Amino acid sequence: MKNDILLNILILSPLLSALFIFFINIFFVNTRQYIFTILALLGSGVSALLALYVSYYSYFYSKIFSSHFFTWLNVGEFSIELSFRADSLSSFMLLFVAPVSFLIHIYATGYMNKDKSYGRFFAYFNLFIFFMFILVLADNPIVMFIGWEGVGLTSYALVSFYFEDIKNTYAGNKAFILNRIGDFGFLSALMILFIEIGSGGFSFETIFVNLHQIDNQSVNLIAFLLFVGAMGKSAQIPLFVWLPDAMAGPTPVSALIHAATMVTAGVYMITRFAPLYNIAIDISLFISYIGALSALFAAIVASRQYDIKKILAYSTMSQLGFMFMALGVHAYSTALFHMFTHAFFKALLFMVAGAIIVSFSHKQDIRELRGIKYSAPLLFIMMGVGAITISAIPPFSAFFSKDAIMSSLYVSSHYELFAIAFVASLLTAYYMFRMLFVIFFTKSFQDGKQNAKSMIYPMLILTFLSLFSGFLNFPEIFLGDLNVSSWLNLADKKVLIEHSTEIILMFVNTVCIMAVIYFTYKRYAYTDKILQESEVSIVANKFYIDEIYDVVFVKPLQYLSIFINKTISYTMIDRSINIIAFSYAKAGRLFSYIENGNVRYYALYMAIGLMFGFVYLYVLLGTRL
Amino acid sequence: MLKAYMILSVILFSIGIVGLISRRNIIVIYMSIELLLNSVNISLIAISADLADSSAQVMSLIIIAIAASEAALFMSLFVILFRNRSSLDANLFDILSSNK
Amino acid sequence: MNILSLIIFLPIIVALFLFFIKENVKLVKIVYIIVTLAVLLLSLDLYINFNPDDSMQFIESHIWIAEYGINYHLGVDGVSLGIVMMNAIIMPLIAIGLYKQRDNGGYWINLLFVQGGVMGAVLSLDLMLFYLFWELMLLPIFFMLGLFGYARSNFIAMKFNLYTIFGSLMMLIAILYIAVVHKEQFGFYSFDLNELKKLSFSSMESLLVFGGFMLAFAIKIPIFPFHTWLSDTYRSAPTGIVIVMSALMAKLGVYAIWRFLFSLFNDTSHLLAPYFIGLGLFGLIYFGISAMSQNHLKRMFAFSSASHLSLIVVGFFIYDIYGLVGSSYLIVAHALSSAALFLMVGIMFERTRTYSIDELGGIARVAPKFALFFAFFALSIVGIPSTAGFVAELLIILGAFTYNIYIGFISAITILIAMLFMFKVISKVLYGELSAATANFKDLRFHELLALIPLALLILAMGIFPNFFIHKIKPTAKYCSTNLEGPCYVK
Repeated sequence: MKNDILLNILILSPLLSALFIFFINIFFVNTRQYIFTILALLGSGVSALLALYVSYYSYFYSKIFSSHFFTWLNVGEFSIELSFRADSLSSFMLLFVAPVSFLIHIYATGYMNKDKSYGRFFAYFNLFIFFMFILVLADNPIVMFIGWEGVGLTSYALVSFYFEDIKNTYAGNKAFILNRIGDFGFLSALMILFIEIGSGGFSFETIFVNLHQIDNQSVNLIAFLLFVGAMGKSAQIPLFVWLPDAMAGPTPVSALIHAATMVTAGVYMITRFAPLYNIAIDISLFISYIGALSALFAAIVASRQYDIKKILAYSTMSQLGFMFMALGVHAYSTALFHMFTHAFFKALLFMVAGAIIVSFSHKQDIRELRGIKYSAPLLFIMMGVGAITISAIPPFSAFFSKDAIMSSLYVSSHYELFAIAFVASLLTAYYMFRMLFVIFFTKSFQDGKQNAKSMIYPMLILTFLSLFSGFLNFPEIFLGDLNVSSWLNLADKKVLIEHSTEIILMFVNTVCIMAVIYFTYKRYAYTDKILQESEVSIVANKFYIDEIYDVVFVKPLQYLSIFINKTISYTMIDRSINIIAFSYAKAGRLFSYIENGNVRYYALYMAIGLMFGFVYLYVLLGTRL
Repeated sequence: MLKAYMILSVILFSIGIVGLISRRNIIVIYMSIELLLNSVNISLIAISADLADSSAQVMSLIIIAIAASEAALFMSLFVILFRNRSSLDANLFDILSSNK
Repeated sequence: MNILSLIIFLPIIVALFLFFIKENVKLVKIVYIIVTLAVLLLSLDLYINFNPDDSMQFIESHIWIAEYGINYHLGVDGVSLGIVMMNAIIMPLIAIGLYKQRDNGGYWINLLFVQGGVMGAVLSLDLMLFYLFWELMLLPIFFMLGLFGYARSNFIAMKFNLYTIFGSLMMLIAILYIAVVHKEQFGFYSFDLNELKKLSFSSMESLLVFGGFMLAFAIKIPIFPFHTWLSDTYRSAPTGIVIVMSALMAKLGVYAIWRFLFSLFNDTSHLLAPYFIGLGLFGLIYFGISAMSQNHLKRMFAFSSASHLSLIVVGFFIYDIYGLVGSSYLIVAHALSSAALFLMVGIMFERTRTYSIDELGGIARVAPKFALFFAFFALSIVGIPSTAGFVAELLIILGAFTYNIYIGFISAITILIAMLFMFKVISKVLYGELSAATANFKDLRFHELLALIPLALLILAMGIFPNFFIHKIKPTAKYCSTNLEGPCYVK
């Protein structure tokens, strides 16, 4: 097979840099920080450049890069090659994953400055990027699964980064465990898929060629199980509870993993299996409903959170819900485009949050962060841009992507989905601007440290991208070309919508959102309303979902474990075996009474023996005696 | 005729067994052992008379000789046992018992 | 001399000589390391020369006791090769890792006996010879448990021994019965595996004899419900013995199922396979949940071992190529991971003097190297990609799905089971606050690193390049799984 050296370098450079950093960090104490910085930035920078190169060629020349390392596993009919392929979908993913990762790397060198585990952080960070590339570029589902689990593993390592406080490690554990529950579904789906059609080779191409051979029931089962994997990785209901807790990790981690890359892996995976989902229509509808539910739930909960990062975490979950809604009605390009724009503005928002946290002595509660507008004007502008973008106000990027989603939902004639999406987007504006107004639009004043340049510059770039990346997929009614969609060339369902309907939808959307922003302004800007909101409502406690899970799953499992140990293993089985042993000992003791040392009894026993002998002789010899 | 001697022998043997088991005094136990030996002697002699074979009489003589040496052995045992416990009760000698 | 006999008897004979210089502990340790390294070199030679296309190789056969048909018959095939290599690799590493710890000559002499015994059991093709080595393995362990164990070691040693010997007794009865049946059908006694394949049993007979063998193996592995000796024995045993028991002896039980039961009682095995698959799956989940609430490190890892061994049993009884290759791979993968993990537990005990999870904490703060290796080995048991365990579990799950879709789902649960307890252990032991016991934890010394690094590298290599290792096992598995009626290997 062709072996594109550039693709190889793209994949391997973060791995090599991670390994070098690991090695130096473990075996050489007291290395200078800049060595790690150089290695880390090299690793991610090289891949970012190559990713841009690859996407350029993929878009303009429709070139497909592929590369084959070696045969990974060959048993029976199960033959897995370690090969990678950058087709248009993968190149599109690379287009935003690699550069955003690089920008966050630069940001992180400023954020993690002078941290004593600086090297360890960047080793894991680069390892994460490596696995993400494997996930995105994989040519067959098993290699994708390797990347899938790999990002889960590194996410665990990064969330538990500040392990001196054991609660952070519990958050990491939660992330990994819930991810793995999703992986259980994913793996089962892959196994069933293999059994049905895997005998001719198991790469994506051959799978989709043979897809028609599977019966409908199995297709539905596979589609459902794959989505279970996506539920875990992309934090949808019911496997989402790890995402808010994962904010315990350093902010660059949240920016990269929980905004731009790992959580989008679920969306990517479903898109990759698009031919499958086009057949399994019921499951696709199910996906839309879960997405809708998650979007609404997360938006409601976010509107009552007080920690900056938690608000952003729920916001991510909500936006992912939007993406899944679009996927469910087979509007794949739309979902991916929203993922594209979301990566930029969400990463920007997280970075701003990180900058605020670092500048203002690690305060994360928005009630404590009031009045920083005049000491951090740049941050104010950037967060403002982020808020405006996410609320889908034209002509910024998310307007185009979110509007496209709404249109496809409207056209699919599942109006309930459209309604939920509409309410969720209104709530999005509400909680975002609530955060903005409470922190910046207030009469109080706080002073903070300056941010490092390494943090500012990436944020500026992302601001720019958030504002203007929408133009990459300019819709037709504005005489655009739908560049991204045509590039991706996915098996979208054709969306036929009247131009007039679309304009009306856009207009209604925008007006309602403006109204919500105005309402929020009135409520939170220059008031102290936020301080009066209680912390004990159901919503503020995220509907007690963690507590419910604890009671329904965690505690019974622990009781079961104790029950098994005490009752079954110890009492029933072990005791019965010990009883056998003790009864032997008891019987032995009983028999020992015969040997009482008294000669007369021994004589008796001899006499009894004699008697038996005589009887036997008598019987044997008959009555001839 | 033989029958009567055999019955006598059997009766004496049973008396000897019972005495061996149920008496507590060691000297009486020894006497029962002697009774056992002698009952066997009687039966041997009776058989010899009946079958006109003298080998049984030879056996009988040997048994008498052995009984005599055994008596000497037992006497020494009595003396030693009495020295240890000041009593000749068989129940008292149970050091080899396994349940103390 | 045949390489197999050399591998088996070199440790045993050297151990006999070492008896005379038992007091000079330093010399004993050095001789131990030399001997085990020699065995390792010989085994590597074996591995390289092993031809993957032929099945049973390096055969050595002498008549031993002609009258009763007991032969000295040795041979190695793909599955036993894995165990031989594990034995050869792990034994020297125990000494290198625990070099400073055990200052008693008897400890190392006993370990040499165990190594020889395990080698012999895994290589013998004659039932009586196998039984001989099987029992030979047991005796040194009894002594080590009694002499060097912790906490009620006498009672535990007796219990473990009697329990295991009871199983072996049933196996002995079955073996003798087989020989007698052979005499009835062919006119002479024989214990040799090749000869015995020609036997035919009535279904009742074969069920009973199968049961006799299976009892011994079920106790050894252990399979639920014959597992109750496990927790206490692991807790009381000294580190070297725990490593040997978990990494080698348990696998021997599974291997013996493959070697004897599948070739002699093929039909009965297939008849009973669903029950054992069910029992294995139940054990997998049961032991995993059991491990959750354990507070003693060694007990928890004991249950973790039992859980994975149940999975290996499931893989074997599925009996298609995925299950067989997957289980053989898991044997090796799990042996490496659990040997490494128990070695680290031993290192940890030397410094903190406690096995209780509640009393440990914050080790990552003061000993980052230790934390890295510990986390790595713990995660390799969980089965993350790029470790050998992932590949093995993948194959076994695939085999389970081809067998039956419900069985497939239940066996896929295995990827969830290990993480239930493993993450709690990692968090409690490595992270958080330092405790009284761990306040002065010194990081890994050079010789400990020397022992752990090969294990880590091997696990990674087997996870990243699985095909390289699997192609030695494949043909045996393939031949056996496609040839279901007849004997399982070609002579």
